[in-house]
Amino acid sequence: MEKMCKEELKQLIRSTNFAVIELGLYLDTHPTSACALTKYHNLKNTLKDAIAVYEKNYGPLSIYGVKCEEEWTWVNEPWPWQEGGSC
Amino acid sequence: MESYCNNRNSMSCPRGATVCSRDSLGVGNSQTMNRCDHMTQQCRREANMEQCKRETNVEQRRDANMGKYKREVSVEQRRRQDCNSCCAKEEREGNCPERHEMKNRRVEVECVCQVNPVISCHRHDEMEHLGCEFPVVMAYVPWQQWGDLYDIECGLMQGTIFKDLNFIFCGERC
Repeated sequence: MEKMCKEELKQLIRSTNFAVIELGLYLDTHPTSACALTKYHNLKNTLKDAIAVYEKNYGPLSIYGVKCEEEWTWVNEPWPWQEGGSC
Repeated sequence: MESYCNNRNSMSCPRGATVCSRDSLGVGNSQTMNRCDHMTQQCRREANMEQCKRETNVEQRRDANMGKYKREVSVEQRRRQDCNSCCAKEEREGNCPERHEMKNRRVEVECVCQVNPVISCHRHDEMEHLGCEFPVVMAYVPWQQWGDLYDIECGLMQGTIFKDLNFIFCGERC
């Protein structure tokens, strides 16, 4: 994961996030499914790690990932409609 | 039907004394004989009534089978009401013999195809294998079971990570 480029990390975050949401929907109706719970926790940890690596190397993905203390850097990243920006 | 009344007997005409008297007295001839307007209207009414009766007979024959069907259903409904009133307790307990008899007779009485064999209302039910615990007309969603998953990349592209939920909708008939 550390060796992934920015786009690869972003794609991993996208797909993992979607899978976590899907598993959450399944667990809404199957709260005691051991298979679903195991898969959910594995993917949630993967997602958490991928976000951490991305934000460490390329900046925050959301305002919750802003770690600066002296200056608000959230707006320094290119916006989705700007070159280099994506959502 | 003639366009006017040929009845020259003034006695049969309520207004004959004034309208048909000339003919009844033998004074009139083919030129002087008056039309009896009142009788003409009556004849028209009678003609209309005859036409109406003929049409009604046609309608009655056309609906004869359906009428028979309706009468049979009404008889059946009355029997059910009787059964509901007198055998409610037994029926609730499953001991109403008449109810059981009617249940067996249900298809014979209620289906229009018994009157008109051209109409078939007993098509094969593909969901019949589900059994009696599923009442008809109600909608049911089968409970999802845990199964194979797509890898996360493929799941994102397919719109679901569950292979069981991935139906291919092509905008065509199945």
